[in-house]
Amino acid sequence: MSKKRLTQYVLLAVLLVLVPQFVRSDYALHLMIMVAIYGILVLGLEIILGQTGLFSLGHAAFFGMGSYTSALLVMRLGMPIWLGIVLAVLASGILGFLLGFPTLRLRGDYLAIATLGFGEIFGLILVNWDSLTHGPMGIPGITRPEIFGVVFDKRMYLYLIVLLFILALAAAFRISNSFLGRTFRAIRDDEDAAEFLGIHISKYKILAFIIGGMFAGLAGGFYAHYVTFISPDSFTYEDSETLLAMVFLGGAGTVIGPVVGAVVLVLLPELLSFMVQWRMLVVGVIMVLVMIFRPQGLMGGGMKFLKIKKKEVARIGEKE
Amino acid sequence: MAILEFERASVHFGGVRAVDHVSSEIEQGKITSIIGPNGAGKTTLFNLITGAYKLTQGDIRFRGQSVARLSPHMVHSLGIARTFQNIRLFSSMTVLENIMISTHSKLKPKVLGIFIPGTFKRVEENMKGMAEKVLVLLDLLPKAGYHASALSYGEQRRVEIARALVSDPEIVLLDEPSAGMNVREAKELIKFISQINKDLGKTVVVIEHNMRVVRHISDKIIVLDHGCKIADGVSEEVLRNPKVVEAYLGHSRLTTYAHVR
Repeated sequence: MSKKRLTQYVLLAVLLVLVPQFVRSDYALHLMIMVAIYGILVLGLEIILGQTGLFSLGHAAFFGMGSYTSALLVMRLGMPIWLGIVLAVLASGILGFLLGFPTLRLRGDYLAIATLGFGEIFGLILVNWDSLTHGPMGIPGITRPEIFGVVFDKRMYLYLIVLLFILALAAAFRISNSFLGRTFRAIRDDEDAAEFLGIHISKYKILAFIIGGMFAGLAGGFYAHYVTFISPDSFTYEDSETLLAMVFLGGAGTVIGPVVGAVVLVLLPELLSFMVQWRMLVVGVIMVLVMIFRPQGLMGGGMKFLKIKKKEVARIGEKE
Repeated sequence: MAILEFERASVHFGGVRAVDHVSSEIEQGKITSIIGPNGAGKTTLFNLITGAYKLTQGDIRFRGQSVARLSPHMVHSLGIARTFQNIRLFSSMTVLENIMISTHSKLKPKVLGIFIPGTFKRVEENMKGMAEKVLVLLDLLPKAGYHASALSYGEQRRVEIARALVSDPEIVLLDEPSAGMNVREAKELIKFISQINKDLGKTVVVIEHNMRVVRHISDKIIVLDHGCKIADGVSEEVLRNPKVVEAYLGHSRLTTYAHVR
C-alpha cells in the first residue's frame, strides 16, 4: 500500500470516528444507521442480481432469516448476541442454498417469479409458525448488545454498523475484482458459453445466492438487535422491491452504485417529509426520470446488460 | 492413434435423427475436418462431444474413456475445448477477462482463497499470465484491455480461439472458424490452424464450409449428410467421392455431367 493511500485511509477512519461525536440528533444517527443496514443488504443483492444477473425478488426473506435467527437464538437459547449474528449470517447463507438449488434451471422472468414465491412462502411461515415466531405479533424486547457492561446507545450502534458495512464493502469489492466476480459476470453475459469454457455454473449460481444471503443475514442480525422489535411486516415483498429499486437506481453490476442507490432511497423520503402526502409521488417521479435519462443507473457505465434493461424500462415508461 | 472415437453415436430429437449411427475416429495430433451441407448435424456432433446433448444411442470415447454422460464443464476439464459458430464472447468484459474465464479447468481456483491476500494475488497473476501468453500467440495483446464488443469480427473470432487454447486442451474443436472472414483473413487462419497443430501439438477438429481452408489443412475429412456419415478418409479422395459431390451439388444430370468433365 502506498503512503498516500495509507494517509487517505487514516484520514477517513478519523473522520468516521469523529463525525458521529458531533451529531447531536438521535434522528440523524438513526438515519445513518438505516443507510448502512440497507447498504449491506444491497451489496448482497448486487452480487445476486447485479453481478450474476439472477433476478431475485425475494431478498427480504434473507434479511428476515438473519433477523429472526439471531433474535430467536438470543431470546430463546440465551446465546451471546455476537454468536447470534454470526449464526444469522450462516442461516441466511443456508437459505440462499435452499433457494438457489431448486431454481438452478430457471432463467429471467421465471426465476423472478420463483424467488417472489419464495419470499412469500417465507413471510407466510413467519406469520403462521406461531409457536416459534410469535406469528404476526412479532418478537418484542430483543436484547441490546453490550460491551464491557455498557449497553449500546445509538452512537455505538452507528460505529458497529459502519464497521460491518466497511467489511461488507471490502468483501464485495474483493469478490468483484477476483475470478469469482468475473465468473459471475460471465454467467450473466452468457451462461451456456461459460459452461462450455469449463465453469461449473450450477455451483457458482448457488454460490451467488449463498453469498448474497450471507450479506443480508449480517444486516438482518444487526437490525434485530438494533430496533429490538421484529415482525413479519418488516420483511415483505415491498422491502425486496425497494432493494431492487436501489440496485437499479444506483447501477447494477458496479458494487458502489447500489450503495449510492440505498443512500438516495433511504434519505430521500426523509428529506421530503415536509410534504408528507406527496413524498412517495416525488420519489416515484425521480425514479422514472433516472430510468429514462440514465437507465444504467447513477453510477453505471455503458454496459450491454443495462442497455437491454433500457428498452424494457422505456416500455414501462410508455405505459405509465 | 485414435484420441476420440465415435461408436454408432446417435441423437434423436423426437422423429428428427440429428446424428444417426456415426462411427469414426479422430487421430491424435492430426487436423480433421467435418464437412457437410447445412443441417447435416456437424454442430450437433460437437455438442455431443462437449456434453451439451446426451446421446440417444452409442458412445463417444476420449482416450478410451466415455464422455457421453459428462456435463460440459467436465468435458472441458478433460481437455476438449471448443469455439462457437455464432461468436459468444462475454460482451461486458474485456478481451483479457474473457480469456481468463477459461482458465478454471486448469487452475481449479478455490473460492475462499480470494480472501487470503497471497492466494488471491497468486491466482489472479496465474490467470493473467496464462491469458497473456495466448494473446501474444494470437497477436491480440494490444487489444487486451478492449471490450470484446469493440473488436472487429475477425478479431472476435481470434479471441474465441484464444479462449479455447488458454486451458491448454488436448483437442481443439473449431466451429466454422472462417465464417465471415475475407480471403486474406482466411489465409491467415489456415496458417494459424496449422501452427496450433504443428507448434503446439494440438489435435484439431474443424467444421468448415470454406473448401479452400478444408483442402489446405485437413489430414482427414469426415462428411455428414442428414445426420449420417457418408464418407471419411484422406482429403482429395473424399472430395472426389460421388456421394459427397451429390450431397453438396445434388444429382441432376447437368451437375453430374459437369463433374465428370
